[in-house]
Amino acid sequence: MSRAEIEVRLEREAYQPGELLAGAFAIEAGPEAELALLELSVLWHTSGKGDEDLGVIHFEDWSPARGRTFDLSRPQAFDVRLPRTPLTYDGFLIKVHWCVRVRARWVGGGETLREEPFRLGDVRPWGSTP
Amino acid sequence: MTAAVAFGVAAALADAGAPRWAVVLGFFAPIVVGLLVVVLGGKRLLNAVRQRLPSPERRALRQSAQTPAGTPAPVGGDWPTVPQAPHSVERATTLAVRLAPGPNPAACAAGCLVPLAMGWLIFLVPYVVKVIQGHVQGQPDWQRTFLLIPFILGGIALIGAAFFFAGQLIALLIAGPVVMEISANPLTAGGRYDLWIAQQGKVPVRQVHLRLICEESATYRQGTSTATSTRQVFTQDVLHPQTSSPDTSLVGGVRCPLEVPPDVMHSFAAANNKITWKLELRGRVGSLRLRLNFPVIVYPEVP
Repeated sequence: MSRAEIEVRLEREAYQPGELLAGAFAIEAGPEAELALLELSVLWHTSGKGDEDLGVIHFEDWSPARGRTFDLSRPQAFDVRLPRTPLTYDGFLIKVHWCVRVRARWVGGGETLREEPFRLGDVRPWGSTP
Repeated sequence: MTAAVAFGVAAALADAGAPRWAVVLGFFAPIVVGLLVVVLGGKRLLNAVRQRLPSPERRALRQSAQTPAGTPAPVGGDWPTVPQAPHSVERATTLAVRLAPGPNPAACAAGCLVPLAMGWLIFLVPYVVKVIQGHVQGQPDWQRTFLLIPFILGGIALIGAAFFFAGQLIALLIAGPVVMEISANPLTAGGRYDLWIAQQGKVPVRQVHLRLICEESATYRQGTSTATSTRQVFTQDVLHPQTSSPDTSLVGGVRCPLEVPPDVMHSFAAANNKITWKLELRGRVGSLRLRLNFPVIVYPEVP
């Protein structure tokens, strides 16, 4: 079962270091959909020439097998205190991105993933640095 | 197995006197069915395996919990992913912090190139002497002459590079230890600092060029090995030979201001990607070039 949709909403698109990130996510799935595992992560990751680095600053999971069920009919709110670093960065070899990622795995196979990016800090691109 | 079944069905149909199209169908049908089972079954198996594997986020969380002490932690801490400022073991005498010099590439390069150039010369000289003797005696061996040319050119390049790096090492020895002190370290984006640079030797370092540099380095897997790409993404002159007095030397010390631009990226260290800041000092000791690096840590601007 993978024909489900996840919607993630954040209060803002950009945050300052140490601020509270607040948002909510909801899952839209058919009545036959049975959740095996649901994960919410707030993370930074790199892209560019080097291999990916990833850091998770908030992680929450729901799994009926472990006795924590998730109500698909209601949206789930979350808030996370953001760290001071690493700041969002758009370099030449390295880029640092921040996002909220929701991953749902379904009984019988299949996975649905949704990412909502946001910016942390105000690092100016190199070309515009005075 | 599928092929055996296909041959068996086709043979049985042929023996039974079935029409040709039925024999062909009897041969290909088990193969198609077998392939479908393999593809669909394999996909299901892959899905089942994937379902049981921990997600990349869960793996990252486990890895961060196992990070050994001393390495930059991806989670937690006041400034995650910002490395700690390296401190010099020597005590500062003029400003708050004495910066520890970074590794000197000239020492490493000279250490490798000088023995290599000597080995190259020992290998090449007897052949060159023999070829020249042939030319002098009027019996030139042109085949050997042309064969030697690339080796001679390679040798010249090698000796030149060895002299260049050895010159930098000699300059360092003549100039004596160069110390750099700063009013604070770590630095902060948008911050203003005082710098003091001095040499402890007697032969003056002149044409002093000091730059603040930001460098990105990205490590990636290439087959079974790893490679690292490095790129300077920002340079700013702190002290330039054209703007300072021609008599400026590091004997007795030079004091200058340092301004880190606002809104620049902070120092960053993760397993595969790094953003580093350093103060690079270039100068001349007589006709020899001197080059030294002093790594610094830059923190983001605190709002």
